[in-house]
Amino acid sequence: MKNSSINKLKRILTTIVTVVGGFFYKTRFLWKRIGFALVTLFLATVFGFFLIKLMPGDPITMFAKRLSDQRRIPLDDAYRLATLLLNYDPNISVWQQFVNYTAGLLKGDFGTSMFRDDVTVSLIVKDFLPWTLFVSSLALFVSFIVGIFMGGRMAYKRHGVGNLLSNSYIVTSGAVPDYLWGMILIFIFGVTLRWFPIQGNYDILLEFKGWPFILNVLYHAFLPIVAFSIVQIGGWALAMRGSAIGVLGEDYIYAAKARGLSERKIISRYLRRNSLLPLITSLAMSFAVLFGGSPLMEAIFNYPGFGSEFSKAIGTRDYFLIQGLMVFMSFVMIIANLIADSLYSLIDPRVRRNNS
Amino acid sequence: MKKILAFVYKWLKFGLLATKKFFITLFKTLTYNNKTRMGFAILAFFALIAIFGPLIFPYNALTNEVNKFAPPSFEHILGTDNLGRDLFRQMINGSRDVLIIALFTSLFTIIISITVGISSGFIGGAYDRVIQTITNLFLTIPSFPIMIIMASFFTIEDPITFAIVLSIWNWAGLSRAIRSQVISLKERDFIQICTVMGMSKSHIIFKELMPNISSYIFINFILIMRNAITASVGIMMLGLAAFEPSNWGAILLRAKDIGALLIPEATIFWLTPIITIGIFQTGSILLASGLDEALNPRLRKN
Amino acid sequence: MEQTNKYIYDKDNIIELDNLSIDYVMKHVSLRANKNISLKIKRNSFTAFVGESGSGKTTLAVSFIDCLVEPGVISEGQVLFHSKNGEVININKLNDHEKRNFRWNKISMVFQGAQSSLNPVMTIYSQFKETYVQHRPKAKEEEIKAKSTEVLKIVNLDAPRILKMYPHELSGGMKQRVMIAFALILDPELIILDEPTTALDVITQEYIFSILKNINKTLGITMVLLTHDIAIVARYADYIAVMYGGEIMEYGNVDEVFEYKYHPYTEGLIRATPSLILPLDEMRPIEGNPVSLVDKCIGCIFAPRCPKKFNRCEIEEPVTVTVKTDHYVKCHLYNMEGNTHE
Repeated sequence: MKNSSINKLKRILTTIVTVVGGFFYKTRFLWKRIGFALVTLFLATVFGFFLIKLMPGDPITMFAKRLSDQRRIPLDDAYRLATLLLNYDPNISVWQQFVNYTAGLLKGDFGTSMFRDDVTVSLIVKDFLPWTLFVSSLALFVSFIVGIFMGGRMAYKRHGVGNLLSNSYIVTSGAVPDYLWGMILIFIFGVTLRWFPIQGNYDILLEFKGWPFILNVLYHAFLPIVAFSIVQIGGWALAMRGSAIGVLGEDYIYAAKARGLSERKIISRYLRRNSLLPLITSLAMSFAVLFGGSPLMEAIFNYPGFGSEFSKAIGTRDYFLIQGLMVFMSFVMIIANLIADSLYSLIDPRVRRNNS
Repeated sequence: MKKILAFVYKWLKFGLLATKKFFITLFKTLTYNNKTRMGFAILAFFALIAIFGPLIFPYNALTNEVNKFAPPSFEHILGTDNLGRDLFRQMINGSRDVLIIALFTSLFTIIISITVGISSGFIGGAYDRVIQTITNLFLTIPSFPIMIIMASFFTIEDPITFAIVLSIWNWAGLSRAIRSQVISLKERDFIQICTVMGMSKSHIIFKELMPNISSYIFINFILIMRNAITASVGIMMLGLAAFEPSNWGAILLRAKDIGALLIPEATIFWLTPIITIGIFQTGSILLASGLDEALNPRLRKN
Repeated sequence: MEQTNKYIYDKDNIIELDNLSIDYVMKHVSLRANKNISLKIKRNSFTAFVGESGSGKTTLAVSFIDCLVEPGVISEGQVLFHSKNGEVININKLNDHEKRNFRWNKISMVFQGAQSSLNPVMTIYSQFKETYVQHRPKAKEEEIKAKSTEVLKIVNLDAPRILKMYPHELSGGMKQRVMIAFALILDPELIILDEPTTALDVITQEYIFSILKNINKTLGITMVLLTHDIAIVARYADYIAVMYGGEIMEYGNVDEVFEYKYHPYTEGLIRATPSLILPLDEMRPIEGNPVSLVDKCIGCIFAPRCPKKFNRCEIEEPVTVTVKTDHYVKCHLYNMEGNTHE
């Protein structure tokens, strides 16, 4: 009796282990990537931690002085208060400092401003990042779609007027950096023609919800989005053209033609699908890059976003805020990269099965 | 010590040979490839201006508030800026710094990339893995914010420092590409034959590996110059590297600060640097893509 | 060459090549891939075109379906297809829509390197279905499924499993068999096989050819095989056309050609193959270098390498002469009277 129940237990255990183990094995590519990302996250933390030490001056003392003036407390108390608020104490061992810092990060405390009370990195992220992402992702989306079509067409019809125009566009648009295009656009459409507003993200007189508000936001975002897109379209067109030319040289395109498939079908199912596959990773990676912010464009358009806050922090030498924003950006990018990387393995049937 | 010297010597010799080979290839392609010709012409033009311009058109930094935003005239070919200084001469004067920054950023980036990439790919093993993790870190942390931070904390006083700052965060992508090229070459038979024949490692590196990736590096040299200009102008426009007011980026910074877009007479003032930058970048793109076409047969139109 | 609109139907031959010349026209030079080919391919036969790489076999074959690779063009002559329903079709004269209908329906093809002939991002079934629906738009799902299963069975593949797979999940031999099945899916009258087993091992090769021979015999589909492997030809083909430098040197029944080896090139080819019976030192390679298709050729194209050449060979181009029934040779040796008929 006892033997059979032990056997049953053994069998159940083996099945569980096999199933769970099998699951982990099948998705092993994912775990490897996650592991790698964690290592990078750790390194980014180390880097961020040492960032403060590299900056000139003694930030704690400065902060403490300011606190003591502001709250009329003795310098010693202010100093201790400073170390608490900023999660940084130069007097304890470096190792201990690092542990405190990492603990803070895991709790979500990326840092506080030295000069503006109650302004934390989390607050800035909450209030300003959405605006930046809104503009950048719309621009990415638009330029991807337009660029893909342009590039696909360029690859298929290698000669002709369309090709000439596209080529000229790519060269011209790539020659001027995006923020300078912003200046040109402001001048033409904002100042001279007065079709679009030249600064800000919305009209502060409007109520913060409803259709008029949304339309107003889009109205203000229009020129920055176009400025971003001008340059990016060229990039996507070139990438798509390169990929499509490679695909066109493949045997299966020729074989499809020999089977009597219509040109339209060949372009959509054979050319487009196969050319787009490698570009999807680029798209996801580009999305990750958006989190780095665009301080220049926001400066030119006076657009209150993540990038402009970062510039402000730099300008005021707000060390801890800079450190916090920097570490936040790095974290987000690492995670976004991880997602982008894993995404590709999921879409390409070739990679899905035999991956390592 | 002697070993290091020998290594550096080999490096320099290779660098010279490579540059010579580069220019030979360049001039060969100049004869038949339109793009290369135009691109090279533009860049050569700028180089000439940078070298001889300030001698022919010396720049007088005296301000003259009364004459601000004067329209173009025989005396001031492009008019004057917001402080009455001649714009044309400022542009010429600034071109020197701009080109130095571009050139040196490219140089430093390439040296770092090659060293990291080739050593990492060639030596392999644990060394490779460590370097790759570090490279990954440099790749994922967004470069522009870091450059802004560095620019604000190391006061930039001269173009070379600027170039160093720009290249510190720029080498990661190229080094990875070089590394993958090295690895794929390493697998190829002729490298293994060399090892079997007992050729020294440095011989393998310089005589066999490098020539295969040299065309790739040349094209990247030009592309990095282009990126360097975009980045340097951007950093200058944020006010973080204002050491030379006649630098094109500094001109744009002034334009931004005084709201030149709203002043009609100042249109030439802010438009000139933009157009100049545009022309220079176009030259680089044309040269780079022309060289790419010449050296990469797949893109050639039959 | 005069083009008549009314073609005469030929019930014995399925393909008629009439003084066909194909050139690759480039910026500065023109390459003559096929020169004045006049040949009739017998219906239901297993005809092989044999020659070295670059002898013009593939170019000739793809002209049957008007799929010449850029910048190839037919510069002279025509290709006529005598369909079993009595129609005579000149594919070059069809409009785009008719051309697409013709392809795969009447003539299909198994490519060299099936490894990359399938779309990597579509399953096998979806590719079968796509081609089927393209030619028979009103087809129902069951019909398509049934036909796909049927053709896979002919090549001995397990349909339910294979149809769901992606190309990279199949082995080389399996992929090649899928391509053969694919070629059968619209019941064509002729299948072109371009070096179908070059990348495969000998055993798989045997297996695939026995399947092909079976298809030829039981389904009555004409097979046009392009290969450089004369051992395969000797074993499976009915007729052989020996090509060199874009021209047909000899054509005839396989047994006859192998026995008589009229053309010096044919003899050279067979001599160059190791034999199971004869001693190894009887094996002789063909002297000389491959021919250039760019330079204009005076006289016989094989003359520079021919061990039996004489004066006339280097001055005058030989004329194709009938030596036996359905057996032609293009060589001065068999035309000593100086006849100029073909």
